[in-house]
Amino acid sequence: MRDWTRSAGVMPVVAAFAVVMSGCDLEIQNPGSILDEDLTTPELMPILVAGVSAEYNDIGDRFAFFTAILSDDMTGSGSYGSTQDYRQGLFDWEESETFWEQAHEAAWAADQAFQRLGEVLPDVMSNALSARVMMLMGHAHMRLGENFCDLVYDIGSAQARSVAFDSAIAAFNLAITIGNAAGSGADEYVMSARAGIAQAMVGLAVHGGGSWAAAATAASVVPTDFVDYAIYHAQANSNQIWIETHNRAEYGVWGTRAQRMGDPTLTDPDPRTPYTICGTWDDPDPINPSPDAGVTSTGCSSGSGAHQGADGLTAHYRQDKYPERGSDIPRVSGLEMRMIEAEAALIAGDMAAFIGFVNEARASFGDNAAGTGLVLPALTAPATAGSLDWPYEFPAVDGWSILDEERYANLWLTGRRWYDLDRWDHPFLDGGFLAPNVPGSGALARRASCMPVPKNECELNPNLADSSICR
Amino acid sequence: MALRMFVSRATKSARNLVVAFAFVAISAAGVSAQATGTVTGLVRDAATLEPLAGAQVSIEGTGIGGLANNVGRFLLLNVPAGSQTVIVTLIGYSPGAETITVTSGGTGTADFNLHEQALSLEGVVVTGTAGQARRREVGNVIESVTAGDIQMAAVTSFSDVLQGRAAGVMISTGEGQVGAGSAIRIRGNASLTQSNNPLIYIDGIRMEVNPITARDEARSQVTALDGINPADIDRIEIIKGPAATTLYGTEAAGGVIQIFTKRGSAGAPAWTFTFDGGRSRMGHQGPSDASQVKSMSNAWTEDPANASTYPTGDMDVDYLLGTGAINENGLRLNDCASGGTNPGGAYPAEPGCPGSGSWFRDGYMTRYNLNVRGGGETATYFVSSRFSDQDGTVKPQGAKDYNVRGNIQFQPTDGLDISLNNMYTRRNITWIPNGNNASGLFLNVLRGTRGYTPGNDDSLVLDNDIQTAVNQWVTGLSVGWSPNQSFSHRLNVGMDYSYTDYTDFKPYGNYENPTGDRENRNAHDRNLTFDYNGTFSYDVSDGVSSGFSWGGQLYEEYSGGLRGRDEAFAGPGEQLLGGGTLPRLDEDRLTVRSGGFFLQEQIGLGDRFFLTVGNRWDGFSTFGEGIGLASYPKISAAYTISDESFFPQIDAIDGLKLRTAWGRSGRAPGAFDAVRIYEATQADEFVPAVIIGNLGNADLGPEVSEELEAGFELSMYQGRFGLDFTWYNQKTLDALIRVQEAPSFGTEEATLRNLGETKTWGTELTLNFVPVRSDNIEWSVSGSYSTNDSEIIDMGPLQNLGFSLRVGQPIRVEYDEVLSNFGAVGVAPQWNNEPLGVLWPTKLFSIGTRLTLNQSLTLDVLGEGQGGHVRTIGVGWATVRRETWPACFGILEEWNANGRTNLTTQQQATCAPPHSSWGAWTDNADFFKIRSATIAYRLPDNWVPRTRSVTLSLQGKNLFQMTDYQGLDAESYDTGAGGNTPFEYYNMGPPKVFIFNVRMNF
Repeated sequence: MRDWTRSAGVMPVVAAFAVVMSGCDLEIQNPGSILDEDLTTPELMPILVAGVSAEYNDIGDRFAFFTAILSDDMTGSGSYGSTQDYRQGLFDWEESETFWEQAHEAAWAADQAFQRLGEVLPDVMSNALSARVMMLMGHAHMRLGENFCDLVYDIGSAQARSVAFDSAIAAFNLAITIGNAAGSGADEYVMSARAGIAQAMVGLAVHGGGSWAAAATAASVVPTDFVDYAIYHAQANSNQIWIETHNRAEYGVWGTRAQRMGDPTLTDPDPRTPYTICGTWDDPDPINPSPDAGVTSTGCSSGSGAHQGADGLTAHYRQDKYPERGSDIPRVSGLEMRMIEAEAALIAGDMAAFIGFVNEARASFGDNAAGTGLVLPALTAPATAGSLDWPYEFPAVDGWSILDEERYANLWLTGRRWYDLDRWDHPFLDGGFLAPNVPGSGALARRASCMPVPKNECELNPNLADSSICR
Repeated sequence: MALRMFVSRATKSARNLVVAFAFVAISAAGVSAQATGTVTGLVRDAATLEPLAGAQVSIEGTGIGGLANNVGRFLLLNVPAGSQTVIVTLIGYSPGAETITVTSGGTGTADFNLHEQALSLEGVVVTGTAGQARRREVGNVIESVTAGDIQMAAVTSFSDVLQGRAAGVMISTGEGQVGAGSAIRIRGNASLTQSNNPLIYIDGIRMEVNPITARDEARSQVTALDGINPADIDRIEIIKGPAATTLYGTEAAGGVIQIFTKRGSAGAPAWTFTFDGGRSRMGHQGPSDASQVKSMSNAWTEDPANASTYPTGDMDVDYLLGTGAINENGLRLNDCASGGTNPGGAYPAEPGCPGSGSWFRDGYMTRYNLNVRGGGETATYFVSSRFSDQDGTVKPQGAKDYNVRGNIQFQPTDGLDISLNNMYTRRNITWIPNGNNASGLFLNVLRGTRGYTPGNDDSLVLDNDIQTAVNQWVTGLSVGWSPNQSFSHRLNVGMDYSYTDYTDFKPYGNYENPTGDRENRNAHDRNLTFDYNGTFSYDVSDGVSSGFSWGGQLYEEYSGGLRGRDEAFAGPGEQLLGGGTLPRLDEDRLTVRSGGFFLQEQIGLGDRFFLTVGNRWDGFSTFGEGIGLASYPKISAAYTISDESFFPQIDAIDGLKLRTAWGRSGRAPGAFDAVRIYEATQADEFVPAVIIGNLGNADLGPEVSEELEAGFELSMYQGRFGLDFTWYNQKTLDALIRVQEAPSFGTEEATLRNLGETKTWGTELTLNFVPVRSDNIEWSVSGSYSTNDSEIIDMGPLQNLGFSLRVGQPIRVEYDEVLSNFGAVGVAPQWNNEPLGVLWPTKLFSIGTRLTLNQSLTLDVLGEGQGGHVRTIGVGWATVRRETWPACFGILEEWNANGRTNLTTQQQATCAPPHSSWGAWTDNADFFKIRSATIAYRLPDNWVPRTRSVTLSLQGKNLFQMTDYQGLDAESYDTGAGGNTPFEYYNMGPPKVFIFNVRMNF
């Protein structure tokens, strides 16, 4: 009996002690994650920089996808709540949160990576990785400046949009400096940075601090056939535009300017806005179709709702600019550079120069599309600058209508059209709508043309406590 | 003698008896002795005449006693001749006593039919310490569900067992497909971001509480809990709230459910065979008649403070339907063979409509249970097996389950009790795609021609082959050691392991992906338990007792798996991953460990007042570096005031216990939350990359919930009336909230921080009453009612976190649109955003009754209601936008003819496609259902040869429903068992189930 009692007393003490010891030394075992302190060797820097590219890719297709519905690039034909709002030009400060967060993170990740490169690489100022990081940072700032109505950095106060363009130019210039020091391995990054500077100069010309002449000068150093892509891959960061148009029918070309330009039933459809008609309206009045008339499939081969939009209503006209899950999306291109030069010439009143740049781009596209046998004919110089129109002028005759159409075609589905509408104060913004069967959508006072600083920034940033940019 | 004294004495004396134990061979027990005889008999449940194994039988004043064996028989030897009183006691039953005359060398017989006792303070429960505690010692409420409750009920899965049977416990099904799991909440939601699931133990081994499959094409999730065979359950104890769960430590703030399976008992093998044949049938989906269409309402519209905006308290929508049938096809689910009309004109029959003319079928069920229990003096066993084959109500949905269990107990020496419990379950579930899913059946059928299927042939979605196979093994070793009357130890070591294989295969030629598409997820989930507890009890002085307890636990949860996908296969056939051209693969492995220990002291005064003080310390692998051990204190008091001399001696009162408890418990942060990490990913042309995964928080600790509860337990009229009342108030401090810096800082990654505070409070009432009890008739009534309210007090710098979490509002609300121009005609709706109501039920009630005639015919009914919450009828909102929701056809006709000219804003907000509002479709979701209705008949003895008893029963589940909810089913919601913000979106409600049951004991 005594032995039992003694052992009974020892047993709990041993057990409790074992438990305490175990409880004090409980390690996480989560393979798959990489600890911060392990990213400190030069051979790991390429994957760090690739991560910066992945961060940019998050916003590359996101802005391209959603601003296509907010602009006249695409008709929202889907069932996402956002799609329903965006097609009517509605966009509020809660909807801008993810765009704001991801764009800032793309820039921040580049900055963090550059600091890490400085700690790890002995040749940080002459290494192509550093040049790429700064190039990506510049483009991230560009997406902020082009898409947001106001800017805030580092939990600071509200700033004008031009600060984003200034930040972009600083990053691009550093990329160029490093890239030049790095040699030919960084040529692609250097050229992308030069094109980025031209984009930023446009922003400064619009919002103060720059000029169209400076923008044109910056653009002039970029060859027409140059393209820098945000790279997507079928098994990694897939192109969301492809997913939302080929894998499902969240938006389509029906009802847009592209529908008319690229109409595949025409003998000479514009090859810059390619699409396939996957479903045809059964109702002769598709603006207000009968609910039971439906849409007849023409045989597109994949995707849920392949013949009609995810709204169960709209005939699906499927974009084919990005025909694959891994199709890349241009960040900057020589075609855009020619458009910048053309716009500068138009503003300066030089119609010959204007149409020269336009035709240079058209010819270049024809060359690029040689495999398709499609060549864009040269346009005649307009007699007047004219003005922007809604509904659009078909065919475009005056200078602004030509520029409008050419920029639309060359930059289609790259996330750039919305900024054009905004900086031009395009008449499409005043009542233009692409929302069939949505009574009242055409009666909006004005479509949104830039994103407000989001609600969470206003709530979490003490420097915005009384700011007028927070609604 | 007051009954409570009688019970107390009988229990104590029985505990101290030296057991003279004999088994089934009663015929061989002819014992003759000088001036002594033998007493034998049978102990049964008075209502059902089922044998009661383990009942304690004694001869008053002699020290002679024993236990009833596994068929309820007992044999007492060497009983002095003469008049003797035989006493029988069993926890949960009123005691029995009978005086007989024992003749020298003769055999006296005393049979007992014991009545269930509504509330017994002598009943024992498990509290987290080594031994069991009597209810009179426990300062908090503990609910119990017994095998008797389960046996009589219409139960098709484990989830059904708890439904409506414990106050404050909510079971929410979500999707009604066979095999779909349920969410469990005890006292509602208290955490903003962490799991509100209770901890679940089976025979002392912790089970996985989260769904073991991710949300899938069926929008259903599978839970480990449903792998348990309900017929194996002996009892379930439910411990609610942090005041009671302190000893269970971190993760126990959501309550604890303890499941105890049946054990063997001495005697020859006693077999039980059960056969169930059943049929499931889905009722009509949606309203079929104009009279069933009602204006929707929610907490905001009903609030008198908003009467100026919503004067009628609801949406006050005239649906312009006239009278009679509004649509001969319903929602095209029940009747798809013929056409109909809607505002757009005639529509044809559904091309893919099954030959029966309905998408539903009668789902048949067969189920076989066979178990045996028996054993000898030192070893007993309980072995069971089950096969179940259930069809869903849409072909090919259904599930086949196989389950075996072996529970073995050894008592090699006095004081040593070793149990080995093993369960293996295999479940094969075939799903149909459903819910918020472009491939879903309901979605495509209800949207008519505006669905996604080519030519509106919705049968194509059923070509999608979706399977879940679950292999689950629960094993546990439990060693109890009581070297003397003072010491007791309990060691539990075990594992709950499940392997889940989910496949979603769209074969080559599929309408969505003509070249095929396959997804496969293999998931392993393993929970290891090491749990040691000890107790040292002694009498400090006369009337003062002490019980000192200690213990320590180690838990490890491992989850891992592979998720692969491939598409674009070369050709038809059962293609596998790798056979296509676009294979993708993800691997997950995660191990979380925790360890803790506790100390507890309980002081008892006069066996009437018990004060318990304790503390638990926990370490957790997910805590930040700076946290160390978390500490959770507790204190409770239980006072059986009716035992006091000053308490009025009212014969009607058996016992009255007052109790109160305060304690803390916690919830742990997630595995990655405390550390700064990068995530591996791919970028560019499929090159490796890293991106920031989490910024980390070295100070991250558990969120701590503290609770004060108080209540009383009253037993009256010799156990025929029991009342249990509890009030509780819970605060969650340091609530975990994912807060980001202002995004302009640079990263969108939010960091989990201990910043928030929430409050929940409520009351629980349980009533059991036996109005009639005689030899031939027993009628009992039971009921429960509980409330659960909550408020978010603080969320640090945030005022809201998503739409459903808002400071000053209850936890999880629907914050959505209300009309600001209600009643206006001919103008577009205008909106404000307001909290429309809580998303989870805040009121639960149940009512049950059982009538037994002649111990053979039993009628048992249990109904349950859930209310005080809203649910958004996303299925209506989305279908209206396709102009195919029948209730809106009247308004749609007007809309299409004249636009909004003659329509009110509320008519537009409900039924006009461009204005249909999520908020307007947020409806009160109160409902009452008959969960179980059973009529059982026990055949007269010997009608079936070689059996001890045979019972036939007809059972029904969800036979009747009362609700004003306008969706398909007030219980269904899209995100399955894991959803925090439930809404209904083309989900299948639970069907009505009819079961014919045969139960044979032999």
